[in-house]
Amino acid sequence: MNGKLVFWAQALDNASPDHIAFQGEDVSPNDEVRRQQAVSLVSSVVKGGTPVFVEDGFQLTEDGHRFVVEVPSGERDREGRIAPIVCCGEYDATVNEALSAHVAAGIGNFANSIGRTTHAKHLEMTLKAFAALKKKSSTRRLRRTIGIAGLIFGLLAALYALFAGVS
Amino acid sequence: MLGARGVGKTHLIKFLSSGTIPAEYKQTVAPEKASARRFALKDLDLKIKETLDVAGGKAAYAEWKELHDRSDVIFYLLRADRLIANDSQVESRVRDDLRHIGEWLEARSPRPPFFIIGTHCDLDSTFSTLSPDRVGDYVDRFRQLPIISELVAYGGGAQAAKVVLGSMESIQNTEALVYEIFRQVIS
Repeated sequence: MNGKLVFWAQALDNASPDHIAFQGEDVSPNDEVRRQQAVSLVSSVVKGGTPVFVEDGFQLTEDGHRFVVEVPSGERDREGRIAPIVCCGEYDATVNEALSAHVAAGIGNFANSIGRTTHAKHLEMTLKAFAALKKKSSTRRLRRTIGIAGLIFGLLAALYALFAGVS
Repeated sequence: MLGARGVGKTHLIKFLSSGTIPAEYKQTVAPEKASARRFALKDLDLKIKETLDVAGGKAAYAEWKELHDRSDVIFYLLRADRLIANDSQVESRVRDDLRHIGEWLEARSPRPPFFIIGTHCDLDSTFSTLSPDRVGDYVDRFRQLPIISELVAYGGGAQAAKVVLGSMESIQNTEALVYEIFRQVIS
């Protein structure tokens, strides 16, 4: 699993710079390049991906081995709107409990660092969402394995027919 | 649909893509896809393409540009009530936004239609007491605000950058604003 996660939340006053943490570090409001990189990364996953889990304001979107999780925080902005926290990351091969625990803990830590709270149910939902992602990822892997096995079988059958015809 | 945070982008996109307005509002942090839709509004037959609801923070400028570069019509939303109240923070933000958008518009050929849409007019006490025949005067006075003249100049001048004002505090008002915007798009 790639442990590098991007966290992003808008300020509650809708005027101060967004809160962004990229690869474990807070990105300064003056670091426009890294801020736009972080935002573009999140956007590319959402634009190319599909939602795997949507429930009660919580959403997990997947694009290949990249994901975006959106969790409503306990606070509302100045306009009374729900203020979500977004986490974006990547995994190397498989989705496992360690990944979901890492993301859940990361969201909690980021929320604390910017003075926000998260509901316990949303952290539980992170685990549930990654279970759905794991299921989807396993199904996709199984389909790929069956496809490759079918291709090999077809190839062997063609070779057998060819050699049987020659002899 | 571009604009700073809390100006009504999500509200307008939701109306255009579904005919409804959000039951509950949330900040748009990660972008959200909005589906295409065709619908009739009075005498207008509107074909809305799929679009993206993007965040309003300055960190999303790269996303704004990408969206701008592939859009047929550019709408820039701003809080009209705050500009009428001389909110310097809002003025500074819209000035920064229009500097960027002005450059992007300049780089496109042909230049796409560009609209500055002032929202939240219901929060301005003058607007809420206006009779329908006085709305034109209100819009003219708004256009004469120094900050709006400046924004229109960034947008390519009065012929290229149209200004539309309204409120989206109800679905009826949203419908009226959308009608006015698209009436000007086709005019």
